[in-house]
Order: sequence, then C-alpha cells, then structure tokens
Amino acid sequence: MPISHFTQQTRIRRTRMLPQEGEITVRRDQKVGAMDPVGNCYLPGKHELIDLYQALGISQKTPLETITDRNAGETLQKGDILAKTGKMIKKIVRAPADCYIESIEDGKMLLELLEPPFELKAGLDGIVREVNPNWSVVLETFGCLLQGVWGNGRVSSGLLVNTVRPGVEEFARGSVDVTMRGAIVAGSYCCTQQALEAAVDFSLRGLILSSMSSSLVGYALKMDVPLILMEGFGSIPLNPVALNLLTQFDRHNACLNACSWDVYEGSRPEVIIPLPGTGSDPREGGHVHQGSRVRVKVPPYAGAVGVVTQLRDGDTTIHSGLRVKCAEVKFERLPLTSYPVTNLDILE
Amino acid sequence: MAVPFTKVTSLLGVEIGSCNTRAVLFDQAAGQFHYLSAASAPTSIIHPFHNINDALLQALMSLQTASSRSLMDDTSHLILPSLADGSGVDGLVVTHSAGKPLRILTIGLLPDFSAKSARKLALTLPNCQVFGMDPGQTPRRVNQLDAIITSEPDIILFAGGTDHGSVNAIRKLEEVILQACKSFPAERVPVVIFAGNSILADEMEEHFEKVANFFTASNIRPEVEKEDFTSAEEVLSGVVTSIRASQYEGFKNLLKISSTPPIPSSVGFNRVVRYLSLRYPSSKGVLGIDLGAAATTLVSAWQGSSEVTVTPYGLGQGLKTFLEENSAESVSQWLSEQSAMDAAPDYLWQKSLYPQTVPATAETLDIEQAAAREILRSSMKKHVKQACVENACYESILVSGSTLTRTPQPGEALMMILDGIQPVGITSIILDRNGLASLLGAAAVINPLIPVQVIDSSAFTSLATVIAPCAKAKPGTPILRVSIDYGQSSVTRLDVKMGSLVAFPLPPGQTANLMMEPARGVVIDPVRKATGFKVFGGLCGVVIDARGRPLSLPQDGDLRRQTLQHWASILGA
Repeated sequence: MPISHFTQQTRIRRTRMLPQEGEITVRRDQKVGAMDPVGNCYLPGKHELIDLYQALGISQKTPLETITDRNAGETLQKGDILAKTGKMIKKIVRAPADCYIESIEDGKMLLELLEPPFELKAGLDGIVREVNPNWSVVLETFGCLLQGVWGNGRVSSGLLVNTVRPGVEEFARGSVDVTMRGAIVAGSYCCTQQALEAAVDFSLRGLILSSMSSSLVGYALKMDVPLILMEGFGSIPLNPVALNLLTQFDRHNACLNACSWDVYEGSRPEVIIPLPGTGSDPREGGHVHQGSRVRVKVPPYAGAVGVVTQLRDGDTTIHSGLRVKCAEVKFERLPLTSYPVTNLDILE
Repeated sequence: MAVPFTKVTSLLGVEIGSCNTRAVLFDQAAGQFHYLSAASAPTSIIHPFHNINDALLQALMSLQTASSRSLMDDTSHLILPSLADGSGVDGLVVTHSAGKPLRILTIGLLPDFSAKSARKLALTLPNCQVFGMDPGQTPRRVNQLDAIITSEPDIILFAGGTDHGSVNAIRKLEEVILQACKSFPAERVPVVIFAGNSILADEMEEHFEKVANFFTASNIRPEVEKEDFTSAEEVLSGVVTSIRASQYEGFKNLLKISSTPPIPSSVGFNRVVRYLSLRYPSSKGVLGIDLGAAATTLVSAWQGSSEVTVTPYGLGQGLKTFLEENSAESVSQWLSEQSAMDAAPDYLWQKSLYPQTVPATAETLDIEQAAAREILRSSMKKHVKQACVENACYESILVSGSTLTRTPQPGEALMMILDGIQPVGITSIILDRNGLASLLGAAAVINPLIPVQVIDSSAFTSLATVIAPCAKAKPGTPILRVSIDYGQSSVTRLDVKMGSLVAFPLPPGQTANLMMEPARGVVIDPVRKATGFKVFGGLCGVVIDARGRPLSLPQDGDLRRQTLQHWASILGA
C-alpha cells in the first residue's frame, strides 16, 4: 500500500509534466522557486477554417502558391498575412488571432487559435535535476515533507504560520487576522464557510487544515487560496506527527502544492518545507507489519496515530459484524484496539 | 503448451478490480466443474507499484493456502498447465475493471440511431467516461474538430449509416476525425473504431492506416431498426484490454498466458446474466446487479439478449462521482439514527479518498448500506430508461459485489435490494457471494459447460423469494390473503396489509406451496398470473413486500426512523 509521509528531513524529487508537448524553460541544475514557471505549452485551442479563395474573392483556378507562401506547421501572430492578391489593388487575408496553421488543402486554411500558454509551476523551492525537453522536469529539494489527502488544485509558497494549539480545535473566522496576510496558515478542522472566506479576505497564501466539512467542498474548489486537507473530511484533528512538524517549522518558508490526489499517477497534495542538509529518499510503498507506525483513515478514531503490535492470523469479526484481516494497534491515548488493516495508512 | 479446451479440468479465474484483485479456483470433480476457493489482495496498479503482479502474487499465495493446492513454482510463476502431481491449473481466464477512467468519444450520424447505439455500447464498459459528439448539434466542421480535440479521447467509437446506405455524410465526418487525429501529439492519438456502414470499412482502414491505431467492427446499426453489438463489443473490449495492458506492468504477460483474451468485468457479467435468462424461459427475464467500488453494472436479459448499463457510481472510487451528482441527503434518508445522518456526508467523502477501507462500526456500515441503496436507485433509474422497461419485474435477480453479498446479516442485503431496486411481482433473489459471475462469463469461452456446472453446483446462494404486489390502497388495508404450506400439515395463514413487509422463514433447499388471494384491484405479478405456486427457500425465506411502488418514506423524521427500524427488524437486518 502507498505510504503517507510526515518526515522531518528527506530528499524530495518531483516530476512536473506539461499536459501537452511544449517548452521547458529551465535548465539542469537551475535553482527554482515554488511559484516559478518551469515550462509552458499551448492547450488545444479553437479552430477556424478560412477559404482563401473566397476571402480574396478570386477564382479557385488561381494557383495557390501565387496567393500564399504559408505552410502547415507555421505559427503566426494576429494580423500576419495569410494570403494576398493583386498588385495594384491589393486584397489581403490576415490571421484573426495568434494561431497555428494545421493544414492547407484546396485553398482552405485550417487554423488553430492559440490561447495564452499554460504555465507549469515548480511547486517547490529546489533545483532542476533532469530535463526531458518539451515535456517535463525533475525537481529536487531537501527538507520536511507532509502529505495531505485532498487539495483544491492550486500552488503557493510563503511563511508558515501554525495556529493549531492544544485545546483550540476548530479553525474559525477568528483564527486568522491581518498579521497573517501573505502567510500559509495551518489550522485544525473547519466547519464554516466564513472561516474559508476569512482566508480569502486576509489574502492568505495558503491554508493547511486537518479536515473540513464536506459541505464546503464546492466553495473550497472555487476559492483562489490554495487549500490542503491533511486528514480528510469531517472533524478530524491533526495527527500528532503532523502537528509536531508544523509546530517545529512555524515561521519557516513552506511550499504548498494543493493538487488533487491522483492514486494512479502518484501526484499528491503536499507541504514541503525546504531545509539545509541532505536526506535519503522516502520509501514509497510497503505493507503493514508489526512495528509499523500507522494512522487510522476512517472513523472511528480517524487521524489517530499508533504502532502495530500484532497482525492477526486469518479474519477477525469487527464491530460492524464484517470479517476482515485485522491488526492490533497501540494508540497513545486509546486502549489497544484491533483494526482492519485496510483502514490503516502507513506513516513514515 | 496450452491445454485443449476440452481437456481443461481446473481453471484459475483472476479479476483485477479497482480495489481488489481476486483469484478464484474452479476444479472438476466427477465430471462436474465446481467452485473451490477464492482469495484476494489490494490491487497494485496504483502509485508507486503501477503493476498487477504484486496483488496477483499475494492473492495466489493466499489461494494456495486456502485451497491447499500448489499453484506456483519455485520462481513464483503460475504452473500452467497442471502437472501430474495435481499442482497448477489447466486454464486461466482474466477479467478487469481497474485503472484510470478511459475517455471514449462516441460519434454517430443520427442522434436517435447510430449515435445512440454507439453511446449505449460505450456505456457498457466499466471505468470509462463517455462523451458524445453530435454532428447535428455541431454542424460546422471546425466546431466538430474542436469538440473531438477538447474531449481528449483515448478511444473514438465512430458509427453511422445502415449497411449499403448513403456514404457521403459518413465520409465528411471521417475527414474531421482524420484531421483531429492529426492534431493530437503522436503519443496521444486516440484509437479509432469504425462500426458503421460496412461498405466504407476498407476505405477507412486505408485512410487511417498511418494516422491512428484503427479497428473496424460490423455495423452496430446494420438496419434502421436493428442493433447488433456482437462484433463491436468484442473489438471495443479488446481495445480497452490492450490499453490497460500497455498501462500496467504484468498485464501483457497475463495476456500471453491466459487461455482466452481478458475481458472487461461487465462483459463477463453480461454473459452470465444472459445465460441465466435462457435458464428462466419466462418473458420476465433476469436482472443482474454488480455493485463495485468504482462502478455499478446492471444487466437486464431476456431469453439470451440483454441491455447493459454501467454507471460510474460505486462504494469506493465511484462515491466521488455519486456525491458530485447526488445530494448526501438522499443517502441520509435511509438512516434511522440521527448521529449516522449527521456523519454520513463526511464519512462518504472520506471513503471516496480511501476506497479500500471497510466500515468498522455498525454506524458506518449503516451509512455504506444507505449509500448502496441510493446508488442502486439512481443506477436502476438510468437502466430502466435505457432498457425501456416499465418497472423492475424480473423472474430472478442475480446480485454481485461484496457490499451486497458479504453483509453480516442476510436481511441487510435483502433490504438494500428491496429499497434500491424495488422489484415488482414475484422474484427470486440470488447472491453471488464468491464474486464468480464475471469470471464464469469469461470461462464460458473455454467451455460453455463451466458456468452451467458451477451455477448448478450451488455456487450461488438463494437469498429470498420476494413477492411485491402492485396495489393502490391506503396503508393498513388488507390487500392479500396468504397461506404457506410447508407440508406435513404445517400451514401458516396471514392477511397482508398495504404498507407492510412480511417474512416467512423457509431455509435454502426447502420448498413450500404458496397460495395467495389478492383483494380487488391488486396485481400479484404483472406477468405471472398464477395465485398458487411452489416457492423455494432462501437465507431470508419468502418475503412479501407490500410497501408499494414506488417506495416512499414518511416525511416526518421520527416516523421515518421508526419505519426504517421496523422494516429492518422484520428481516433481521
């Protein structure tokens, strides 16, 4: 099973890939910031078909080469001449927008209109280690890594301000104030839209929440402030490992990549706090075994972190009445509990 | 060396599901195939594994232990064919539903004919997002081009024209598709399948040869009123399988060693339900339900022909789509405890992040079972519309998917089916507890006797015989007088009232004679007119569901909760 990382010091290598073939704008060993573009490409644009003969008002018997010297594959700017005729009284057909000539057949020019290019952001402060021309880069940094479970699709970086305090459970509107403008704020669970609106009002660079009411998904996806949930949906407190790290690195610069979790490709919402020093690569996948540090994924006890003391042989009947493979887990503040293995997340 | 199909005496079935990979062993004893054992492991196609091997190896190791039979050699390779010492198997069949959803673009000439058929065919596959491009709505060539390119398809399924009908309009569409294929980067060019006017097949093959990976299939609309998916289903299924094989390590090897080409799970499930419909020659037909983690498959089959609907709703990855398209309140209405109602939306969203988790408490189990009811309801709504059936009146319902078949109490499974599907008339409900159906469908290619014999060997479990009369009476009005004769002078008589749910115990394997006297205006079964007949037992016995159709829950919250608890108590759920 995949492993969730909450690591103080590790080597972090991430591939950033363009959605279409384009241009990688950084070079190997170049230093980049989280918000820096590392490449760009044109996403598929709308098409226009221009009948050059009709537009020029001339006969289709006119040889094409006498009215245009354009070829398929050329990129043009708005206003560039596509075709022209006449010496005394010129007639000209111009490109209606920045475009790319896909084909010219029977005097018909098929143009793909170019939208502003898509910019691929680094998403972390680090060094470019590999360049796959026109497609992707591999970035590397060393530091603290905290992986979340849900993100609203945005990227940011800024000063980390941790507001999670023992006894203060909910992240409310009052949890942020004007002194946090431009910061990435870490909070516990959020139940109200007003709290998220405060993040927008105070121009936060990002939000790291332990959990959030599922009723806020719609608003969270629309808001411009990057948001990562570390535990998921509901009122799940921040796991103690994450809390320790966020407390330890309070007021450090953090990079927030609030992408959605793609279990197939491996991209995952995460917080990276670049730190000096080195580290080894984190383990990506493994199995639950005796001694594994695990987190409970779903209620009850969602977010609780413990250590597996024993893997039970065969299937065990659990409270719901289902028979599944179980592990005995020793939690810090809970009695020794038998838990379905599939409900446990390996933490490293 | 492959064993001739007629000599296959043991068979391994592998189902690569979106959550779990299952390995199932079938064996022949006394000339009859039967189910022997099964084991599963979490599917390993996700990051960082990207392969099917890890899960398959784990599942096979568990299967070896469970069946006390050696299946792999010292190098962890499957022993195929079996050896003289009894280790290994003679055949291997594979079904799959796992993977990142594939995008299928369907293009047809006329919205009510070829376009509709192409869409219908594409919707029979699990884990696929289906888009349509309607040339009627998008007449300009450049807009058609935009529509194709922006949909970023993995597969274009192109149909149109009856055989030997007009060709000009299809040629125009073909030009646009060709142009679109040229616009994609080389590594993203979609696979194109042409299943239209067969007269154009060769010509198209020539045009697409250097542009895209191109396949032709027989026309899915050879005549205006005739639909034929046989060839196109096979081609589409093969294309989906080859795409999956290129995505995940180990799949290609499985392709090489499997006795028949792997097929999508829904295709195998469809085959088995079609087969069952031949065993029940009633015009009512058979319904098959497979509630999975990523998708729900519904198959209605009548005497060998079928209608298939696959919805992207499931109790794992499919929850996200379900919650985006349906309100969480629709799930909460099936919950009787306030705390569960409050917890349901967050729990289900959380479950969508972790599809492999299981409900650990009674409350979370209730929430998942409530979600299952709503997934079945909304899937059935789409299926009824597609299959053009008036209501869920079937001779038999085959139920697959662990949420429905692995409940702690059998009554819980029956409640989900009654509430979600709302069958009408007299129906027997059968559970596929070991998840065999789709694999048996795949095995039928090796030997059609395998599904026949395995089903006959009681691999499926009878859950209940359900009688759901149609009546428009006030709640509490007697609508049916029932007597059930267990034999040996043991007869139970009862007046069934409108709005009630009644269960008569009758264990699996036992039979009883049922006599019913309906009140005026009450129809016991819209098709089957008999009022007295033999009934077969099941885990829940014989159940009379007189709650009415469509089933409506009380508006008042307290009354609704009491009602739900009362119904559950009757079936021991």
